[in-house]
Formats: sequence, structure tokens, C-alpha cells
Amino acid sequence: MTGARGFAAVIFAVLLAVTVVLLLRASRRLASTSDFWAAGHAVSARQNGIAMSGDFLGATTMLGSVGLIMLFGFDGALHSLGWLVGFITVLFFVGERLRNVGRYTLADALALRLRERPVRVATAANSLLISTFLMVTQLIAGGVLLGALFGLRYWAGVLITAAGLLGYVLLGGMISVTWLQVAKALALLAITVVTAVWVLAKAGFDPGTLLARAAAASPAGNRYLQPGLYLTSTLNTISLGIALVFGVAGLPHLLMRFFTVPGQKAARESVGWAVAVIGAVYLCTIIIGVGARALLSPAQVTAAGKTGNNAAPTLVSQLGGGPGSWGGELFLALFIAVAFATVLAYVAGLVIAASSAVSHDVVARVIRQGELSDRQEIRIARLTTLVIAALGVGLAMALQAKNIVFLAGLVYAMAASTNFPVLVCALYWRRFSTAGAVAGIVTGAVSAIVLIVLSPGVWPGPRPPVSLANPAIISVPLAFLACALGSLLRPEAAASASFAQFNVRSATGIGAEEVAL
Amino acid sequence: MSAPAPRQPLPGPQPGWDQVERSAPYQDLRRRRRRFIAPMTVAYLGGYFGFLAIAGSAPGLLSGRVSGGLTTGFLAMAGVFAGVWSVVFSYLRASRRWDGQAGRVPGIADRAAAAAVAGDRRPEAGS
Repeated sequence: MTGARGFAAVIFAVLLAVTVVLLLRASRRLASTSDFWAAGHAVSARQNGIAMSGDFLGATTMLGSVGLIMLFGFDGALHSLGWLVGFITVLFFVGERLRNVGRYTLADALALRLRERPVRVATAANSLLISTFLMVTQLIAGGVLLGALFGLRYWAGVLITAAGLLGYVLLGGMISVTWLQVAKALALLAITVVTAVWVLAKAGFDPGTLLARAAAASPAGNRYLQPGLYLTSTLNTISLGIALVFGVAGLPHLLMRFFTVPGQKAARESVGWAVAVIGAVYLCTIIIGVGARALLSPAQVTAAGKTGNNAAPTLVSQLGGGPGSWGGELFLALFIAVAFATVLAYVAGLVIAASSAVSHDVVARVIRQGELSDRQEIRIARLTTLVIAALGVGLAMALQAKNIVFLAGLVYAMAASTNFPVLVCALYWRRFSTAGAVAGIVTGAVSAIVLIVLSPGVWPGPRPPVSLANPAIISVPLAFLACALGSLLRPEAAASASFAQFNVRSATGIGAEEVAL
Repeated sequence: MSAPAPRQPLPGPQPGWDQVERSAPYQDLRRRRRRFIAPMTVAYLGGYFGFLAIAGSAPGLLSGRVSGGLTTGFLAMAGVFAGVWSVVFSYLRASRRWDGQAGRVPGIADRAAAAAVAGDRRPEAGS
């Protein structure tokens, strides 16, 4: 037991040493804001695609999704499918076009067509909100993981997680975050594939046998293999689906990834790499989740908690030979080390997005109106990073008891109801105006938040006023409507006139910041 | 590598770009993209939400046994994975065809592009 714990500490030390070397190398290359926010636009499509999958696969996937699948079988697996489908939306409508007209942030692209100040302030506030909440889900996971591995108090775990991510962001900016994401995504892919193959081997490589055993072990019996255990209302299911399929295209930290590549073609190919990695990991989580149900004893399933967040660690320890055995403890230590790296990298990506919204969009562009030197902007970015991390730590302390997958689903609803409609209108609608953009973001954010507060998952009383668990089915159409109304009521000649240029440039990449590799 | 020039919003009409937008190579590029994306969008959104609707309202369709515990629902889910991968990779393949077309647009738009890119640059840019 203590020997295995010692091994876990060694793994951590090695991990840390590797990343410190990466960091030092990255910080030497950090010279301009373009390096800090967009890694100098010089990341290759493969690296960026893998980093994108890293930006996407958080502890939510490694712990939360596996737990949902273990508990609810088919419905649990159905839950994460929407995220994968969401990448088609990104690929078809957003990614490469955004790369062609943007620079570091979403607002950079919008400011090309619309009036700069209101658009930057609105999108920055919204990006800050989305990134901070996603960050909280991961900080919670970091606190829980470190607690599981080293027996630390929750608050100490959260603080250590925050300290680690601050190191990455402050020193290296987007360059070091990208490298960290690539390393983490590959480690995550490796450990999920190994675990999934191991689970399949236990069932003689026959998924039918594995599923049958899981159903036999589940209190729901055969219903475990059918829809209806978790997503009980069609309306709720479709609402969640809308949040996931369109929310991916509205995540600020994911959209920022498109600016790190040299051009349109690389932007497109990154999505290919990301979908390949994410799809493989999701397939594995389904096998691992079902395997956890089939292979763990009822007592172990109960020990994995009501949310199932602990299902994957429990399963890997069981596969390795059971708790207390050397193999079990080693596999568990390895798994938790990768999960912790996942949390660290994921949060670092989020913090970069959040601090870019504040320091690049608001301070450098709106308050100082582009008068800042690169060095000053990076200094402000580092300062904002500190403030945002402190904010995240505070919220993570307050929201400790919340289910992280549930929180993540709500954040996607926010992204789908704000950034996504505005981005689509800006890219494809000639008559879109600044008033439409601001109305869309405000309406989307307010309606999503109000519906979330009134929903069964959040409302404190026994009778929530709204029965919809995820607000997307209402808030997304409302946001589009607000975009349309705002634009029609307050048309903007300049915005319409610049559409031809915006359209051609976004489709062809003419005039984009291309970087030769 | 030198720091790229920051962009400013572009107010007012840009007659050069209107012409580019109407030009044959650009319209052709647009048509080609649309011809691929429109049916694919109907397919992927229809497929995904259709799947959710069936799971919600006709779970019996997804509960048939194929072998052992393997149900038609899990098979359909595997189909969604395969579908996402094939849509993404067929897009990557198809986009190579219209990339050449995009390359022809700047030829027509040389002057407009040069003017606009120059207009993007602030005098003090290029630190």
C-alpha cells in the first residue's frame, strides 16, 4: 500500500519534471502577444488537433462519463455522444472560417464586421462566464483526485491544482498550454485504450457477453441495455442534445485553438485529428463504464458514489489485482496521475481563454484601444490569470458538492445559447448588426441562466418552476430570435457593407495571417 | 517570425469586395462547398436528433437483441460513431477539391485584397 503510494509520488515527480522542461523551453520562445495567445500561429495541424482533443477531454470524461455509463448503461453512453457530433458543427460552420477572419479571440473576428467596443465587452463577459464555470468543474475534480491519491484535504487539492495551472499559463502562455495538452491527450488516450482492452479481454473480446454481464449485475436488469433509465423525457433528451451539438461550437477555449495553426487547411485538419482521438476515447469510456458495471461488486459500485465519479479509479484498481495489491495500486496511481494531468491541462486552456477575454479584448482593445505594447498586454494577461484563478478557487470551494457532469452540461447550454448564434449570424447573415449581436448574447445568457436556476437540478425547493433539466431547447432559439430582432430593428449600414469582404475572406483565407511552417 | 499586424474593423462599403463576391470563381467555390455541406448537415443533424427522438419515444426499436447483451441500440450507437468519423473525413477529402478553387479567387481579387490588407495595418504596427 505505502509502496504503491510512493510509486504514485514518483509518477507525479516525473510528470512534473517533464512539464517543467517543456515550460522552460516554451517560455524562451515567448516574445509577443501572438505567441502568448496563439502560440505564434505556428502549431501543426496534428499537434493542434491532439491538443484540441485535450482541450475537450476533461476529468468530466474520465470520471463523470464513465460513472454515468456504469450507472445508467445505454442512456449514460447516449449522453456523451452529442459532444462528438458537435465537432461536425465546428468543422462545417465555424472552425476554418473563424481562423480566416480572427486573430486570437472570437471577439477579434466579430470586431471585423461589427462595432468593436460593445461586441468585445459582450463576448468577453460571456467568455469569462463560460470559462470560469468550466474551470470550476475541473478544479473540483482536481481537489477530489488529489484527495483520493494522497489523502489531502479538498481545499489543499484545489489549491495545488490552481498553483500548477498558474505555473503553466504564466510562464508559457499558449505555447506551453499546447504542449501540455498534447502530452496529456496522448497519455489519456493510452490509458483509456489499455483499460478498455483489458476489460474486453475479461469478456473474451465479445461485447455481447460484456453487456449481458453488465445487465445481469445491474439492478435495472435488461433495462440497463435500453433507453429510458436516465434520460426519461424525450424533450429533455433533445434539449440536452441541442446544448451538446451546438455548444461545442461556442466554447471560447476551443475556438481559440483555431488561431494557433498556420491557416485554413490546418484548422480543418486539426478537427479531423481531434475527432479521431475524441471518438476513440469515447468508445473506450463506453467499454470501461459497462465494464465497471459488469466486473465490480455491488459494494464497489456503491463505493463509487451516487454520481459514479469514482467508478473508473475503482475499476482500474480492481483490474490490476484489487485494492491493496501491488498491481492494483500501481494501475490506480497511474490512472490518477493521468487524470490529474488532464485536469491541469484542461484548466490551463480555460484560464488562457478567460484571461484573453479580459486582457486582450477588454483592457488592451477597449480600455486602452490598442495602445498597449505586446509586453504590457502579456503583463496584464498574467495579472488577469491570477485573478481568474483565484475566482475559480473560491467558486470551487463553494460548489464542492455539485455533480461535475451536470455542471458541464449547463455550461454547454450557455455556450450554445450565446457564442454559437452570434458567430453563425456574423459569418452567414449580411444584415447582422452590432445591436443584434449584443441582444443575442444578452438574451441567450440571461434566458439560459434563468431557466437553469428554475430547473430541477438547481432550484432549492421541492417543486421547481421549470421541468426542463437543460435550457437549450428554449434558450438557443430565443438567442437566434434576439439576434434577428436586434439586427432588423437597428440595422447597421457599415456591418452590412462589410459582409462581402468578411464573407470572401472567411471562405478563402485572403488577407488572413498565414504563417509558413 | 515577425509579429503580425493587428486588424481594425473595416467600416463603409468595399466596392472591390462586392465584385469579388459576385465573381465566377468565388460563386463556384461557394456552390461546391454548399453542395457538400447542405446534404451532410441534414444527414448529421437528422441522424443524431432522430436517434434521440427514437430513444425517447420508441425505445422498443432500440431494445432488440442482436447477440448476447448487444442490443440494436448499441449497434446504432456504434453507427453514429462510424457516421461522425466518415462525415468528418469525407469533408476533409472533399475540401481538397475546392481548395484549388479558393486559390483562383485571389487572382481576381488581387487589388481588392491588397488594398484591404493594407487598410488593416495600423501605421505603428509590426513591433
